[in-house]
Amino acid sequence: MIRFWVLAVLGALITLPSRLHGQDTTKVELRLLYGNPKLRPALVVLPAPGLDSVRAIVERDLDFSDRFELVPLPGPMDPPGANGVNWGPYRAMSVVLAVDLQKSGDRVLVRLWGVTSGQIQQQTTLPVDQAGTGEGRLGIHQISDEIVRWTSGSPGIAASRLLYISDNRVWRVDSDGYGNTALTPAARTAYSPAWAPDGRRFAFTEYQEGKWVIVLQAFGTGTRTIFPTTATTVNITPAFSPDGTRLAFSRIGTDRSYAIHQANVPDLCCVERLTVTRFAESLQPTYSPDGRRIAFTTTRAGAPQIYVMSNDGTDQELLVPYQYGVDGPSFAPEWSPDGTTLAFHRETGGSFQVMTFNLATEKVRQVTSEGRNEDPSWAPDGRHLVFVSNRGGRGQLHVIDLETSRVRVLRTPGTAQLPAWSRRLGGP
Amino acid sequence: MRSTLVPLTVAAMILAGCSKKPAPEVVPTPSQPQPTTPSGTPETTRPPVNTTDPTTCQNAITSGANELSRMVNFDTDKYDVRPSDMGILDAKADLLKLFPQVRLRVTGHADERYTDEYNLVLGTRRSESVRDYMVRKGIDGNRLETASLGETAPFDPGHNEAAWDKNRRAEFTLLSGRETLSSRIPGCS
Repeated sequence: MIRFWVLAVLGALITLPSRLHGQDTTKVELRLLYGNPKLRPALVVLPAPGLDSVRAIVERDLDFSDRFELVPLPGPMDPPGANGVNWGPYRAMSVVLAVDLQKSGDRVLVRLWGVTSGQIQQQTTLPVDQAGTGEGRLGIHQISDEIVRWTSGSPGIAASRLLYISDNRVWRVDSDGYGNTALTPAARTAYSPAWAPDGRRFAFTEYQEGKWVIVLQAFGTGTRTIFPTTATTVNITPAFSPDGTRLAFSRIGTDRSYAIHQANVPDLCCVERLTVTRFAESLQPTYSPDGRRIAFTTTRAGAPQIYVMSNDGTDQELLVPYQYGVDGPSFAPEWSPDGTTLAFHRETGGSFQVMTFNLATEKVRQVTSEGRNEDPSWAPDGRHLVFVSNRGGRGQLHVIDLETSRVRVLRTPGTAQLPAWSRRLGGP
Repeated sequence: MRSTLVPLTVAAMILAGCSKKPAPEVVPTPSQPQPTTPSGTPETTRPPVNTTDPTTCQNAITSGANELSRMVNFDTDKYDVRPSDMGILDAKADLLKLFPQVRLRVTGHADERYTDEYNLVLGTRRSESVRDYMVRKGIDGNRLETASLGETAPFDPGHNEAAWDKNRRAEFTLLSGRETLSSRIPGCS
């Protein structure tokens, strides 16, 4: 076990060489935060002359991480100078942590201070597009994620994006709600976008002359690849395996019911049928993080409920328990990144609510209650969920932190459906 | 009552070519003037000269296409054909029997209230249910292609019961044979 941790730390050092200018300072203030996800220490982002955009983005990211209580600057404050920082006003506001951003040539020096001790806890320099526009935003989000990693042990989720459907087109948006961009044309009907694990392309289903066709589209070039054999059939709800080599989706079989199929992505071939229950509809597959199991919804016992099977179609069984006649139908499962939990939505009280299912305890937890809430998707930290809620009128993307139950709206130009959250993007 | 009258009425209309004009004879009678060549000798290799008003032919096509396109609606979460809509499908079945080249696509739709992706399934079940009904009426199932658009193409964009009632539906698209809908009228192609 110890050897495992040593290897893990070594691995982190090897993969993140530029990020660990590890200062040998006391990390008592940080250690207090580890392992207590509900604790939200007060944090301030110090003035950063010349880096106003970067500072604003980082401050918002850290707020959206739900791991800090963001304290606004009490007024015009001096930036950190040669004599350090005057901590008096911050200590008076019970601020625990301070983030300091400084220009360092074309890079940005990022420092995390313990306010009580006045000591630097962590620091690094990162190459950042200081204008903070377009793709450059991703680099700034990585600063935020590094700060979260310093304080919690695992990186934040700012450097990630979401796909969703609006007006039957696939759209993409940054995790902080900026950069809404349509990726598919208005003239075509697209549905059910799914990220390829490498973040370079996505799959979705497109309506073409009575058929639903699986399309793979690259983000950079926009190149479209129609998955072979899907152009002449009805294929919906695609999902990539975690290693990106397989695609699971639902297709209408020769018996005219929807069945889970699986295909080979690198070779664009070899579609095999995994579910064979006649007169039952099976759809919405989701792989476990180890790729060995697939959860899906099926009507084999009547109303849709969530089942699981091995990735070769064997060992099919009910996964999420329900009380017959009490619990409503269940839909849209998505396996959490750490594999411990499934998010889904279930009809309850005449509406849909987002639920989680803990695979170890087999307990179902209702996550939402206000309005109609559906189609959850996990953030890469396994602690936040995005879902569609109509609580504000039209359907909009909402993000909930499962630890604190804080909810924020991720604003989109139109009504949003079927969100899919990426993994962390633009890593080292 | 209405449901049994519809198919008879429509079939009669198509055979008549147009509802508002006096019905031309379906079978040419001997008293009808035979087409002749300018020289006066009967021309057997040429098709008969079209003596029918082209509008009559167009009207026949339009009214047949309209009837074939009439949508049917469904109850919430249901996909069985409602008894009140059976007459609409019976009328289509009669036309499909009269015009064997006609092929239709049946596209099932759902309202926005159920789970988005399951609405694709519901739309499929609705289109399949319509096809099954037509097959029971004697139509070859291969002439009816089924499709589903789920909730992606609402007929009424509203978010209320009245809109949802209209949006739970099956629509019909003429895939082929439209031009044959006037073929039963003498003089129309």
